Amino acid sequence: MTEEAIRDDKHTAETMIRLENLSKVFPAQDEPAVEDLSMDIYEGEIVVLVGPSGCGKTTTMKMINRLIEPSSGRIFLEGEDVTKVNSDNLRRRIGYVIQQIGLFPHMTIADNIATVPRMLGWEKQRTSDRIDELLETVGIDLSYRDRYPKELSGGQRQRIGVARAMAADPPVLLMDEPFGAIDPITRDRLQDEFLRLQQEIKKTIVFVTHDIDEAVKMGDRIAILQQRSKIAQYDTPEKILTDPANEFVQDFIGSGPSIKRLSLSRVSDIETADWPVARLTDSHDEVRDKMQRSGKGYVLLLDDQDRPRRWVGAEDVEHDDASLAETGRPAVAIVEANANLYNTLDTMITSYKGSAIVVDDEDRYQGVVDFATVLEAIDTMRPREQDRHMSPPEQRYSGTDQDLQTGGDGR
Amino acid sequence: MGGFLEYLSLNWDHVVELAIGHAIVVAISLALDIVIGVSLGVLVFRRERAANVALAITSTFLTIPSFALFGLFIPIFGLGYPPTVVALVLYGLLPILRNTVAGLRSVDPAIAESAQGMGMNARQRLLRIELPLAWPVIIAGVRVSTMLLMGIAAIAAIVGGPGLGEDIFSGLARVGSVVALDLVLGGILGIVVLALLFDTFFNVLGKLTTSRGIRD
Repeated sequence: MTEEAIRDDKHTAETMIRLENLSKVFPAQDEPAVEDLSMDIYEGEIVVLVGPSGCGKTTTMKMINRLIEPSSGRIFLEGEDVTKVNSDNLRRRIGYVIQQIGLFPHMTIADNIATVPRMLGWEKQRTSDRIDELLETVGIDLSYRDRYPKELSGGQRQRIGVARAMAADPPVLLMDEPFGAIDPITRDRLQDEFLRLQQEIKKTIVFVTHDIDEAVKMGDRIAILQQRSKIAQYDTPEKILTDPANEFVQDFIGSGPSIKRLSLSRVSDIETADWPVARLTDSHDEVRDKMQRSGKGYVLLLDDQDRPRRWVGAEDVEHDDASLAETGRPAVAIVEANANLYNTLDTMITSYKGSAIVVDDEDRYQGVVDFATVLEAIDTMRPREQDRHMSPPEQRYSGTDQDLQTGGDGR
Repeated sequence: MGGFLEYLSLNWDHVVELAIGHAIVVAISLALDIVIGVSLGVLVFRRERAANVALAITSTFLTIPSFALFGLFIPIFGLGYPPTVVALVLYGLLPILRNTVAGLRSVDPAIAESAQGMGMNARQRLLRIELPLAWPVIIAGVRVSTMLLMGIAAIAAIVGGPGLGEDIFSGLARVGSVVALDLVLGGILGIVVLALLFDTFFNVLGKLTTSRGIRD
């Protein structure tokens, strides 16, 4: 199934969280922080609340687990009105991850994860098994059970924060800029990991960020919020990037929405180019032969475990005395099959010969992408873009209004 | 010096008896201080004004000369243990209260928020998160109070309270006589040794009761 089809399927999914005419006026403030917000959040989706600072996105999220009590309006979780139920019990049904993560420094990793299960009165053995299971899920070695948060790196703490939030298997996770305090390289990796994890766990996730790129990457659906949490647009990342509902959204997306859309497609979605490969153990004759038959001028050498090792050109294999393991250039510019096209393009631009080698998650060679293959992928996106520019503006906006209503804008 | 050692060996039982009384009255007062100081700290640490009032009152106690305070309590509490314990409790409150408030306030708001977000109620947050995290700071306050009370407890002798103050005062009353210096020295030495023992005890207790995750 294509990604598009998966997203379309979700329209028919059950509503997990419904916010109805939610408002929040903080004492001693004239203006409401959130005003008459209504939206539906569907089961199994990542919904990103994104907007400029002070727009009320965090307030909105904290009203879902009632860390902030709404001034008016109602909150439904799995169809049940939870606006007035015991808030501590409600919170034990909703996982919560914040930017600072907030692990309890005086407790071991195991005790941190066990917090909610213990409050819910789980059996010891069940809690212990669950801890092991979660550590495995987030890729932390079981030997970390009895360590303390201070002994972990920022990325590991973040993973434990997610594991702790999922401990009692809540249907909903709230995440407030969960990757905000992590260096960009680790952040990128954690985002990818989290998306992979979400494929398995299929939680309903409300994710707050101020970063539109993160929103586009993480969200199945994005709600762009203006002041007082007014929904400027609530739609899929594709629709928001190709068809911004108004000037506010356009400004917020910023420059290069088309480039940003590349981050929605994955390398695995496009055809990789045919490229001649040979083995490090092959003879020079075989390598020269493959090069000639392909007409590419370069051959990629793999080791015995299919891992890309070196690029060799005609001049590198001219002389039989040069060992294949040392000739040519090292094979760098490698991307995983689940990398998005935006990152892949970035890798290609900085690479030798403008191509990137695609590998699977065990570093085995899958293919090569070059500019031609990426351009082809862009071409398939383009017709939609042209349609949009040819249609008169009135039509565009009326269409968008309808989208907004189905998205649950409470106007 | 030889004379002092001879004095000590002759009066060993007497000095030890006084030292035990001294230790007991300080221990009782400290225990009450910990209960009152920590409870008060828990009650006021989120309320700026209440905390300031509590801290102002407890620091005022410290400015009252101990000699005068002990004397003032005689008509109310009589002689012996009662006026001694009451006065010592008042003197020992400030360090424990102040450190309890400071310790609880130093808990990272993000940690408190994630505890709340996971569904811990106020009592669970206090007992499982906030007090354990503030504990090293509270223990440091207890150690300061201990030092303070060890010294002040010597003054209790004027209201007939127990402790090494008895020897110090009787020595001071006989200045010029042979045993005067020995009596005073014996009392001071006893207090210093007791103070070291108590401090070591709380130091070890603090280490044992502080999670490895927040020890340096």
